[in-house]
Amino acid sequence: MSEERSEFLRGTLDMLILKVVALGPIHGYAIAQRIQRISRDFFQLQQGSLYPALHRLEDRGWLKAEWRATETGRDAKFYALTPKGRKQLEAEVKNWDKLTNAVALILRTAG
Amino acid sequence: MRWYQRFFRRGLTEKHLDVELRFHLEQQIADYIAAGMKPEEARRRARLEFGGLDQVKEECRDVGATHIVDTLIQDLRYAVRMLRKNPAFTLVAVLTLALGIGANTAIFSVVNAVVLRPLPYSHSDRLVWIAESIPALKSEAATGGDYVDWKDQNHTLDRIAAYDTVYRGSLSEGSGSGGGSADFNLTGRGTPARVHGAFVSASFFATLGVEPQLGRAFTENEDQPNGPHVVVLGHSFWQQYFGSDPHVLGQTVNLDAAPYTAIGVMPASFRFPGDSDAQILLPLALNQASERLRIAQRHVRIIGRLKPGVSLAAAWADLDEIRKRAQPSSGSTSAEGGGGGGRRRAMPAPGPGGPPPASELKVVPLAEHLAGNLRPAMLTLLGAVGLVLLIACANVANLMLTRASARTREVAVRAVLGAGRWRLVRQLLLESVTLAVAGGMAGLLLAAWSVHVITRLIPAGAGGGILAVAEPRVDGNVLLFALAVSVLTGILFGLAPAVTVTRSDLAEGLKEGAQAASPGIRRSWLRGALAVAEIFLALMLLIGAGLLIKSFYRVLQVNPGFAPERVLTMDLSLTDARYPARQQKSEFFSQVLRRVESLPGVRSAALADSLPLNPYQGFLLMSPNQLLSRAALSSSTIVMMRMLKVSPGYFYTLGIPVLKGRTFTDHDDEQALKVAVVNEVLARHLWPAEDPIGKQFPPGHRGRVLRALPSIAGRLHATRRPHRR
Repeated sequence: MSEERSEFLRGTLDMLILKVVALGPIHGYAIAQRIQRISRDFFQLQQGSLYPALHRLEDRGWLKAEWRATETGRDAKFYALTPKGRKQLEAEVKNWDKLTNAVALILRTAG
Repeated sequence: MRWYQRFFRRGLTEKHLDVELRFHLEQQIADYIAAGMKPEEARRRARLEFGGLDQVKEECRDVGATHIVDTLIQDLRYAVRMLRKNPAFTLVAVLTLALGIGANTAIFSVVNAVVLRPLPYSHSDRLVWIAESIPALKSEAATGGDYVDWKDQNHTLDRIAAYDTVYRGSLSEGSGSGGGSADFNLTGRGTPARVHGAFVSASFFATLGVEPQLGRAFTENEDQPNGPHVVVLGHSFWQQYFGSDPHVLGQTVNLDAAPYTAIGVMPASFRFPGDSDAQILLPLALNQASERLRIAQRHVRIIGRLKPGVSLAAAWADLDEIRKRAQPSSGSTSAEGGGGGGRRRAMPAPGPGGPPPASELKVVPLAEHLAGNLRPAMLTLLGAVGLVLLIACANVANLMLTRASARTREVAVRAVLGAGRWRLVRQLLLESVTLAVAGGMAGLLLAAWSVHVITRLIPAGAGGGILAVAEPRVDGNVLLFALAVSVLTGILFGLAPAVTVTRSDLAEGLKEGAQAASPGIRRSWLRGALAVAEIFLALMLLIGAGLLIKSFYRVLQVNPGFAPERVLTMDLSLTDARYPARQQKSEFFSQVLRRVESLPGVRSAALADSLPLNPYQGFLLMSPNQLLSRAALSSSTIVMMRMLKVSPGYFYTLGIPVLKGRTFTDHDDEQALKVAVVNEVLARHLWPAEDPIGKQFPPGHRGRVLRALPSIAGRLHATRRPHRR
């Protein structure tokens, strides 16, 4: 497995998570559901792999976590974006746009 | 969360993780059931979609594990597991390292005592050894006169003390300042015993900053000639002869048949600052008035305590100034003709006149004086055992490399699973450090045991004095040293294997049977380099050891002039109180000699006032004008002759060859003509071209003249080699 590719995918998942969490505090299960639903099941992510990512983002200070009750009254860990995380998200979105624009441009002109 | 919080809340984090993941699964299952799935199916599907629960947990933990403590604990567990899996390798490596680290730690604990640790006296860094050293005589002491002057006039010392470990009592008719160490016959307490003592000035205790544990130290009034007979007991003496009696003060101790009153007991921690421990302390009782006038010339050893902030050089200048002032006008030093009553700077006291040997003032830290030449010797040894450790390192590194070939696959698998290179290197390093620390612990045991052996192997004369004062032992410094050496060693021998293994081609490593494949070029290069280094180090050690053995062989080859094989020596002395007359003493000794000679198994026996090679021999000093022949001597030379008084059997018993003339007989007694046997060197020196037999021998010493020279004995080496009693 090439290191770059896994690095790339990991970065993408991070960005998606940040984007979803940016909408408001949310627990892990809901994040998985939302990513899958919004992407119309494009990302068949192994749901477990979400959690190491969440923990990594929390560790970097981009997310903060809090234990609260859900609507059904159960305790769940809710993630929310920190200001640092918001900046990171903006930077990543900007990068992503640049990348996709470039790719799109190549595809169009080289086609 | 900080790493330490994470560390301490590890259990809590684990529980949170569990709750979080279970919440996800249960939520998913509930959703599937709500969507109409059977519970069984819902559970299966949720599990499947989630992936391996344990793997996810492990990955989550790994996020925290970017924090060093967590990974270290993980890696440590792994390392211990790996080492346990290879007991043979582990055992060999640990033993190799234990030897290397143990040798280093043992030598270091002596270096620690000799060089690093302060002496067991308060503010011992300010204690100095003051001596007038005469290089020509290899003598280091000071005259009582200078001591008194320094005591009265110095500006740089807080305190100054004098002591003496040479017994003066028997010197009344001795020649030269010989005598012996201050051993006393202790009587009245069970079996009579010989005890070792020292004469100290009243200021001795305050100078060292020590106080008796019981009772008191000497007062200035007690430290006077013909003062009261008082004694301060050493702790072990008090235990041994008084059973640690708390009411010992005021009791009588019979030393050489004279009663002394015990006035104090030293604490167990007290160590006498000399070559050997003194069991009892007696007042020095210097006759200050006559010393000041240089009428009496007692030789003492001096310890001073510098005032705070005073340098050695300043103290030296101060004391030297005082010393020079006390010296007679400088012109008379070169005057010949032996001004007998003049103020002599010469060291050996009652010798005849003549120009004194030059003496120079020496002020050195007490610790340095006590360490003597042990300091460079121990540092050299530390270097040697350092080499041994390096060789051990190279050996273990080689073992690790061999094993590393077998582990290539394991490392490759871990790398593929996502372990970073740095993580792998660290993991392997931790393994080698764990190995080294295990070796270090075994080595520490080895060191603790061998320190006693080393200490016993160092003779007192070779600077072993400091070992009596500052006993080497495994203390905090030594533990720290062992730990540091272990960790460094681990990194040293682990780094190269770790780096090579993790650098190897992963694809190559993953292939089945990769361990059978030839090791990479780099690895074989490394092993070659290790072998070369090892051979080089071993060669260095071998050369060093060879030189040592050669010197030792040479020492053995030196013919001491006598045959020490199967010769036993015994040491005894008679007190003037019990045997006041010379006649009584010589009768006693004759009787002892006769009885010893008649013992079965004894071929011959003899009496002597000292033994060959004993530095405490008496000697005669002669200036040229006292010699009959000056031919061989330049005018400024003083001849110093070591002198022994011996019984007729001496030459035969010690196997000393007689080259010419005769030895003594029983007829050479008090009434007979005074005769002497000289050795070959002296004969050649005094009468280069003549037959020494029958020559007159006038040392002008106390009116006694040795008139005839019946024989020459073979050369006797009377070096100042230490003699162990």
